[in-house]
Parts: sequence; C-alpha cells; structure tokens
Amino acid sequence: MSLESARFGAIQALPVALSVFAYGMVYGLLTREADLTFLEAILSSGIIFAGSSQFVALDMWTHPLQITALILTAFIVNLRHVLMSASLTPWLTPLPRRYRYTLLFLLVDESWALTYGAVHKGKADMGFLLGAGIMMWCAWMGATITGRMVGAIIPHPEAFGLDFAFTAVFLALLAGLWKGKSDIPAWTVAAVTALCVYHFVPGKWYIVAGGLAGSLTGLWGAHADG
Amino acid sequence: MQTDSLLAIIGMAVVTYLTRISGPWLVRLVQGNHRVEACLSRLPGSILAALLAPLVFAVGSAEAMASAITLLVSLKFRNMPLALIAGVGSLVLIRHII
Repeated sequence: MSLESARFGAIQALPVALSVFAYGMVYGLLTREADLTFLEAILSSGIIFAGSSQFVALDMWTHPLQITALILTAFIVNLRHVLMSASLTPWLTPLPRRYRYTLLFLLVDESWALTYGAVHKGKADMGFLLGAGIMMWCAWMGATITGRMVGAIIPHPEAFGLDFAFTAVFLALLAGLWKGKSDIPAWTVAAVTALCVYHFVPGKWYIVAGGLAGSLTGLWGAHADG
Repeated sequence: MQTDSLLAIIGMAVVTYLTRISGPWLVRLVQGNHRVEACLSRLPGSILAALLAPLVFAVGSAEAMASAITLLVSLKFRNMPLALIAGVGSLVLIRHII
C-alpha cells in the first residue's frame, strides 16, 4: 500500500465523486420526508455507506420499524460486494489484517471498479482503494448533509449529464478489461442475464445474477484447457 | 434518536460490512480448484457487464447512443478522462438534439 496510489485513487475518483454527490443530495433530501432525524441520516450514510440499500431502507422506514426486515434487505441488496471483494483477493491477502479490514469498509461499486481497473493493469497498489474510497465516503457524507440541510435540489442533474458519469466510468473500465474475443461469451451471458433479472426482480439482484452467470462461462474454458 | 432506529442502522451497517469483507474468505474456501479459478478470472468483467447492462439498454436511446460513443472512445484512446468527457458531452448533445 502506498501513498502515491492513494493520491492517484483520490484523483481518479474525483469525477465519479461528483455524480455520487448528486444522488447523495437526493438521499439527504429524502431522509427528511421519510422522517429520519438529522442524526439518523448522518449515521446511516456514515456507517452503512451503501447508497442503494439506504434508498431502499427509506421506503421501509415507517415506525414501528421492522428492524429484521431492514437488516435482511440491506444484506441482500449488498450481496454483490461479496463478489467485488472476492475479485480483489490476490491483492488483499498479502496485506496485514487490520489494513485489509479497514480498506474493505471503503468498498462500494465505484471504488471497487476504479481500484480493480488500476491494480489489474499494474498502475497502482491497494492504496488506490484507500484514496478512492475516502473520496467516495466524503462525497456521500457531504452530499447527505448538504441535501438534508439546504433542502434545495440540483435543479436537473440530468441537464449536466452528471447522472451519466457513473455509466461512462464503468464503460471505460470495462473497455480497459478487454483482452480479446475470449471475453465475449462471459460478458454477453452476464449482460443478458442481468437484463432479464433486472426486468423481473426488484433490487440489485441483477448484478449478482449476471456476475455469477458470466463467471460460470469459465467452466467451458477450464474444460477445454484441461 | 430512538433505540429501534439506532438498532436498525447499526444492524444494516454490520451486515453490509460483512458482505464487504467476506469475498477473500469465500475465495480461500475454494482455493486450488482450477475450474473455480477460471470462473473467478471472469468475475470482474462479468460484474461490470451485469452492472452496466440495464444502464445502457434499459434507460433510453440517448443513453444507449452515448454509451456506444463512450465505449468506442475508451477502446481507441484508453484514457479515462477523455472517455468521461466524450460520454457526458455526447449525452448532453444528444439530449439537446432529440
């Protein structure tokens, strides 16, 4: 883990942090309507730090709270993180445990994708996750507080194409992973599965289902080689 | 702040953190199996493709077109800031035209 990588990660994460800030403001705004206290809003963004599960929780936030249902939902919505941290294993295991466990708190969709892209290409070490993750956390917290306090909205984030920054970053990262035609089956299976699941199942299951389905195409390759 | 809110938020934070740290543990369980390793090597690209599919194909035609442009620019120049500018810029432009 190096400081240069952390700095590199923070800088690379800056454009994505902007789009995170935009939808973090929406979260901040909605916490007021869902009757969360100011402290609850800050605490949720600070320690859960997983946007989609927080948005889902707002929908379920009616007193008396169904605590078990909320916890279970958060678990299911965030199951994709298991796959993401699994893909970072080769670079995580050499690290001392306390670093590994601190770093992994900072794993969100955006920081994972940027980090994987950078370390996979040998451009950075795991310090990247620290820099990118802290950038995301600050954007998310800052946006929650801002959205909650001002109650004013970025009038139309889509007018600036901000909402698309997220998609563009992930597309660029996918392009960076391209090794050749052998990638086509896995990616196609993943995308088609994801689209089907996305249409029929609410939540983020499409990421888990598509990711697993795509990676299972590895069974063919292994069979052919062996 | 009420106790039940506090419990819910802490519980959600704990299970979310568990999903974040359990990847390496899961991989250790299946270590040494070549088939599993072959699958794991395809995992990152598959996650990205799965995450992107609805964003590209199920939002709108402007997004789909801007996605194609972003992808082409990324493949040609391998430059993240440039891809971002091309993607966001073309989307704004396309939305303006449509």
